[in-house]
Amino acid sequence: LLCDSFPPTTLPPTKGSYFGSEDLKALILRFLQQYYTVYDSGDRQGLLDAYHDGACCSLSIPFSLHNHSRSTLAEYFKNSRNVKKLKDPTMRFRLLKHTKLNVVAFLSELPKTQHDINSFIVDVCAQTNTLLSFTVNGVFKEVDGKCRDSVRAFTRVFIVVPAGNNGLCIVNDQLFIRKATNKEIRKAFVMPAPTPSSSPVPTLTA
Amino acid sequence: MYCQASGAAEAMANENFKTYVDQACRAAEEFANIYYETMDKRRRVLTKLYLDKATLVWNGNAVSGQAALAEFFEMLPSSDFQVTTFDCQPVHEQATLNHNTILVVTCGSVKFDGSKQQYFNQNFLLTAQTTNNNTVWKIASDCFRFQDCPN
Repeated sequence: LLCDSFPPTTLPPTKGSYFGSEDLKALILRFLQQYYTVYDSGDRQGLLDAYHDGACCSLSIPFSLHNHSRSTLAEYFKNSRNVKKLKDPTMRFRLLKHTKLNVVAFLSELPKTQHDINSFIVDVCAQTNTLLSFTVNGVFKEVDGKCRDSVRAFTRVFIVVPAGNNGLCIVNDQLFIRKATNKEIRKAFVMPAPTPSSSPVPTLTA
Repeated sequence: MYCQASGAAEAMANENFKTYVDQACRAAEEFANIYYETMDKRRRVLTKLYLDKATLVWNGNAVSGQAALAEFFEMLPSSDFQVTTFDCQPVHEQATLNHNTILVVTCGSVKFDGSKQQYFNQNFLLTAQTTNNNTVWKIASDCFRFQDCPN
């Protein structure tokens, strides 16, 4: 009888970005806009300024999560680091890019992209005086090569430390890339990209 | 001379880093197994895996502290998680003030009671708690999101 009186459990509603504060929101959005402007510019060498000397970066492609992900994401597979499947310590070590030169060299080899900054959903996961960890979910398209115009979805975790001039310096970067769903493809790039000159801080899904 | 010395120092730093990577991978593997099994089968003790001041951001809903976490997990329908992929990195010591910390990211699918199966991404910061030479990894932060549902 008592059990009958409990309300049925339901999932909490899914919300948009969680920044925690307006200051963090402005800081992170400015960082992301600067980061992806360089990332999408066709020359990722400029990202050297964004990474700490001892930064780490790795990429994972979800294993058999969607049909055919292996073939459509072939370009990414050779660097995919799935620790669940990958048991060899040497390979686990080799696929984790370490030091900023190796990280930027690795990112420079990935297909050229254009990110849809309006699609981004950002969550601030952790914040201390010395650390800020946030997740970016969104879509991008490839702008070159045989997968030109293919839309992909990604989830990326950045851990950053404070840097000079109210800036941020990346110490950890983990990137998931997956096939976009039909819904994500339909919604991608619907809003015009923000122009850096007129709106320095883009409006994201909040 | 200098080159040799700095080469040796670099080799040692690299060897240390390799040890951290190895440690992070083994911890992540053990954690992923324990976390999702506890989530699915022993939900009421799940908060034991979290630090007292741990934070959770669940599909944009922020929750922090043991009491609020316990309340949140009690309310969440029962689950069946399938983790297909996970990755991990040692978090740089400058960010953690030398407190041994790792980043663990996971993805897979989950079926919550009363909802359809959905894909998710999740990431955790785990910090090492060492007592009597015994290291236990506890969750400092947890961030969970559903991927867009496939049509």
